[in-house]
Amino acid sequence: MRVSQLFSGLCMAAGMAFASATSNAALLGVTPTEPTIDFGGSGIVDYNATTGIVTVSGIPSTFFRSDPFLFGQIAGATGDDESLITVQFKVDSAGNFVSGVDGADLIIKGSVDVDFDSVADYDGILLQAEVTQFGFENGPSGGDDAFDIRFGSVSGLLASFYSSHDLALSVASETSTEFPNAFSGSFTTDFVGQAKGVLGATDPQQPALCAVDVEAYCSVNGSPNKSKCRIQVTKSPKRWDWEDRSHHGSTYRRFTYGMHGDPEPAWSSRYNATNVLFSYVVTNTGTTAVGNLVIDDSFDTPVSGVPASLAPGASVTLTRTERLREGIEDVVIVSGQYQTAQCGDTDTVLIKDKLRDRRRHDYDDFRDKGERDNNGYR
Amino acid sequence: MKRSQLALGAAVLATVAAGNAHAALIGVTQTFPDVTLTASPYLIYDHNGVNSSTGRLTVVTGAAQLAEGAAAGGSTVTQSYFGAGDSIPDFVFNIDVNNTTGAFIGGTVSIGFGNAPSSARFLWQGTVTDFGFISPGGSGNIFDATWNVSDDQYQNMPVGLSQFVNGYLTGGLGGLKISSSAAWGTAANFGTDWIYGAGATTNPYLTAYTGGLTSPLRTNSTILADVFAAPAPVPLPAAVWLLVSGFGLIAPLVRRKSANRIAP
Repeated sequence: MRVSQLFSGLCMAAGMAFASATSNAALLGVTPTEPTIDFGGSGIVDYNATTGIVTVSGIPSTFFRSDPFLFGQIAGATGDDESLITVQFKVDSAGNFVSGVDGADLIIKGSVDVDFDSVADYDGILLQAEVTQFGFENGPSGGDDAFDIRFGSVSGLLASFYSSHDLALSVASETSTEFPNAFSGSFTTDFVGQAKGVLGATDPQQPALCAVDVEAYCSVNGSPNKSKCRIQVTKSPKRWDWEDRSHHGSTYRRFTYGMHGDPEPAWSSRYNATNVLFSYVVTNTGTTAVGNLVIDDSFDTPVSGVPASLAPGASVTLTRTERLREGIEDVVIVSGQYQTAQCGDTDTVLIKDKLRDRRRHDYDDFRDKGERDNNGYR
Repeated sequence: MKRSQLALGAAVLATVAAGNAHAALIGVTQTFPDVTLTASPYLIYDHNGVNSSTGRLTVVTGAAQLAEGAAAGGSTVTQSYFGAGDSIPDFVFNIDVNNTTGAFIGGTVSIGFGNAPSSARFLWQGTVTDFGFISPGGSGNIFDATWNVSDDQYQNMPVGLSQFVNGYLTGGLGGLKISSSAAWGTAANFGTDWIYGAGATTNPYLTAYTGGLTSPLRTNSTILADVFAAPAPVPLPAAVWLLVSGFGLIAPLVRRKSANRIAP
């Protein structure tokens, strides 16, 4: 039980969280929805391979929503008459998103008059946000290169139009006479290309799905698999110990049963022992593959045969036979991962004293040898 | 110098004879100046918009941004087709195709003046001369086309865009490009009616263009479209005339000096 509680804490701390940074060697497929902000062919997409910084810049044109109708041209902000859209973030040499930059990754500045009275209704920093995902596609011959970017942590004067949403930016980079060194599919060298794009709302990023189930069983002398088994208790040299472990940055204490590296004393052979077959059925109950599978139980030696991953719906049964002379509680812990999502499950199998009488609180389904002091409960 | 650079850009345009069918892109290279359709352009296709065998792709938009290009200074100006009480986008170009083969038949570019007469605004008109398309997986349809500029006019242009005077591009060649984040799939093609654009399923202001459509497929998609052109090159006959005239003026002098040397 203690391990179960610890594992629950582990899941709370690490398993159910998902990181904001992901990478894509393809387009994300996000579609900006209204209201949109766009910029035209004067935009530029620039990449510096030394710093790994991608910069998209342009002059915003309009702020638009079709229904209910909302429209305004984006002009220069009061004071410096500046209107701009800039995006900056870092990628690795394969184009995988690494991080944002100091300050806001997305900045849109300008002024917008949305009621056609020639007075700016929004004037200054219109939007700011942080990059969370980046995708790209090297276009076909004669076609456009494409980039798409997802943003979170939206703020600015127009942020209320995007509440409860992320932002998505679609960028097309045309083959242009002004930019002979445009994107060619590689992030190992610098490139500069023409760019035009549309920014809009998109549904928030959902946690990646990951689900796994484990059912633990025991069997004595070929009996059917059960969650509780009884053995004859004699005298055992094995003992409980604990170890502190780390899992995805969270530490927890795991309790294990066995000899812990010590030799088994000669006297133990004088006491009867029972071979107990433990079976752990691990099933991927989600819709995505589960990788980085880790299976722990309460014994001091590892479970063998753990697969690297499980396909959706797939199942694997792992077994181990332990020679036991006393009752134990075997807590089985399974954890796995899909992209940034962690998932896990636990189950417990009980080995109990075959000869011990049933007690008042022992409301299980076993038919015990003795039936004293149980008020007739079987 | 600026005109010669643009003329060179025009020469880069890969032009193909009109009338050909293209189940592939023409391969147009963007030049400047460039007009990007902003405020949500829509692709509206009527498979029998011209006649029973000819469909018409109509492109409408709410605004347009003219860019001179980075080499010329990078300035832009946006004109709007919306206004108080006017929520209907304007027609900017159409392309007619055979609704069975997709073969190009004809088309026009008609980027009109914006709605604000006291603001900077521009007009580009011309004839589409060729059209190509592909439907790559993952990034939606891409169309491109070439066109000839028959008229261009400008009003209230800012100082930074003073090169834009009436007729600046007239006679020049241009191109246009359209990309759609959503591909046709199997339901949309040149034999069916469809509308692609942001909010295509909800925009109530497209009815002015959709009356002739039969149960069009409406697909929300990010449309990025621009039209570009370059001034016509300086006519060759005039240049040749100047060159010949120059030679004509200096030729007698050369002959006279040579004669003096032979007979001192």
